[in-house]
Amino acid sequence: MILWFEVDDTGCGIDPSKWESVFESFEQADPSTTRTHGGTGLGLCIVRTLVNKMGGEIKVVKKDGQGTLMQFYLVLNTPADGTEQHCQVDFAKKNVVVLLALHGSMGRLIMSQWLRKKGVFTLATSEWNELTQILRELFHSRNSSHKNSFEKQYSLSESLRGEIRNTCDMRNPAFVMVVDIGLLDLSTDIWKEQLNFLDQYSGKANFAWMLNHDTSNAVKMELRRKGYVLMVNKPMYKAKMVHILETVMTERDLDTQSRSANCLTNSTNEGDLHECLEIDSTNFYVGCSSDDSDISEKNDSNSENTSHVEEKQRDGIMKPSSPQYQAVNSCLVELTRVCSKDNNSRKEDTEDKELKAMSNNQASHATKSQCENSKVQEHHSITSSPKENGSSYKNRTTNQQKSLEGVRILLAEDTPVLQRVATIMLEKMGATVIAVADGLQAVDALNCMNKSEDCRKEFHSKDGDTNLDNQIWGFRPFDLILMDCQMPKMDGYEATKAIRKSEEGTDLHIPIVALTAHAMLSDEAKCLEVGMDAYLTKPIDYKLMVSTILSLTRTTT
Amino acid sequence: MEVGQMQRQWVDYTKSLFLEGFLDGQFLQLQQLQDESNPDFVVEVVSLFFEDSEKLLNDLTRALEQPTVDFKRVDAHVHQFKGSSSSIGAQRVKNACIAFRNFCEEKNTEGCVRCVQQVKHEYYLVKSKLETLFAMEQQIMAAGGSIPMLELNF
Repeated sequence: MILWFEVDDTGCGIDPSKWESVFESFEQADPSTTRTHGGTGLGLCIVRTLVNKMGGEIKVVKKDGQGTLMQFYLVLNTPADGTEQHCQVDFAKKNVVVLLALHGSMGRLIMSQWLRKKGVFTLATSEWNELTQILRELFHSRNSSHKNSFEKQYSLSESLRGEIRNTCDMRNPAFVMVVDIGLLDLSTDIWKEQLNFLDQYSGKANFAWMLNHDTSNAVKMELRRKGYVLMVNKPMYKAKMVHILETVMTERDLDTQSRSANCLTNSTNEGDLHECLEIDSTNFYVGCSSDDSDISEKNDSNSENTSHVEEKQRDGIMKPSSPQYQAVNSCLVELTRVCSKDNNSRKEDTEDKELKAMSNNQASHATKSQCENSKVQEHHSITSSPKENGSSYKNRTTNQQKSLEGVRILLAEDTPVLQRVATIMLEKMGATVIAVADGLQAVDALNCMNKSEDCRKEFHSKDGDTNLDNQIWGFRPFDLILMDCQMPKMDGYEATKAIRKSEEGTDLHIPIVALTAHAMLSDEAKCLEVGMDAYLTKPIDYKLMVSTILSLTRTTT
Repeated sequence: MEVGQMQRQWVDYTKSLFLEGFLDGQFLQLQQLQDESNPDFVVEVVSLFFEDSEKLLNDLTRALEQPTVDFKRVDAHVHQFKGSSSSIGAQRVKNACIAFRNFCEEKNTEGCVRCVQQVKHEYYLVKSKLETLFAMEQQIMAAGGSIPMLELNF
């Protein structure tokens, strides 16, 4: 198909005799303007070359009035509608209500038509006031604890009311609110109030925010602080919409799944604990020191997981399985990455480019040609780690990996810095960590846990109340021990010996991972001898630590 | 100075620290562990390291001033210092500690005393560099910017 474009300005114009030659390289229509306006005379030449390569032509055309009018056309293919074919979820069956609160009327119209065609119940609005009215109607929220300055004598149109009434027939639908950031009054501080207003609905509906490429950091931070995780850059494409819907659906499914899963584990908990701790004691991992390839690998895996859902999501179960979507995911949904204002304003600074190039490596294999819009790709490949001084975040951790969720770790390490780093890092991965500073404390801690576990079992056999399990974690013993080899009072080797001794006669075998500064074969042998299951050399490669822990505890989680 | 410039300075400074060997890959690992749920992770850990180190250096100096030097004790301190410095990526300090341990093994008091000086020297150097780095970060944050993510390929 052929798409025509026009660029119309009210500048100084170009003399008709030069309409052809302006496209030549190093040609400027009026040399005298160079001094005032600058320029190399290459711009139009480049443009024409590009246009021609895309099968089109460009020329200057006559216009009425001051300035220049240029037209060009491009010959483009219509893509096979990949989005439709790969839309894996039948949304009609999924019981979802979408509210499109978008400014651009054409975009809104097209999107709502498409959604309705897909069987998704869709409401649309373009104004803040109408949005508030719709929300109120949808959720019958009667109490607004803060004085609501947005409550006007504004009545919804009959047709909208009718539509909303129809939603009452739906049983527990998922509400997806797609809101254009333009609906907030960002020129004053009113937007903060607007966000406060929305707080009352944030639990009842899933909000997806449509941002502009130059939406400020402050706004994004505030959105994140409020707990909103779904943020997408305009323009809104089908693929993005599908992605948003799928994210919401997946999370919903998992929610119901995890609820029923919990019930299952509750009932089978009692007898199974011992079984879970049995690990193949012949596994032995040789620790290797981290090198740079590890670091960049880690980065890559991080970038693949840049899209996420709320903290309710269980570990590892992520996005739609289609590989195309993996790439689309990381491009389109901007989450933990926040771009600095400067990067947004596309300054062609060489240093900025360097930064982009560096972080491009990081996100590159997820953001390649799969992206529909190269503009989007450029935007999202700039990464920077957001830091906020002194702001309190709601406890909705938006981390991509909670791979150690539910793992209880005893860390025996005497160097304070190491203890702290390891603790934070493991907790960040979702593990629960108890840290001690020498071998004696480690042995004591373990005994203590085991004793309480015995008490608990007794308690339960009397009571049968299995719900306590999940809440009082103190009753459950550790899943794994990280044992520093060199510690005062009792070192790691001694402690391990003591622990293994106490396990004799039972079928207990708690996985113990040695942390050692030495990397010699004799140390390896020593670890094996005393009954350790694996070892890691310092300085710790955290990626390796996590995978080691996972492989030793997989049967417990 | 505007944000973009400050950020570029920060990037250049950080790169120089790596190129000059003050910091190594372990520091990068720490930076990567920092995010919204742990926004001050690096500063926290490094501050802990500073505290810890002051104590260690005092203990070391005193231990070497004893009439009879307990080399085992000295070695234990150096071992700790080596561990903590390597865990935050303070490469030069770590290397100084490694050299130090050799003298401990040889029970060479003079050598040890020299090493303490060396270790102290490296420690104070990296301390001031890191403090400068953090000050830059504060400035960037105060100006409304954010710290860029660094990926360095050696």
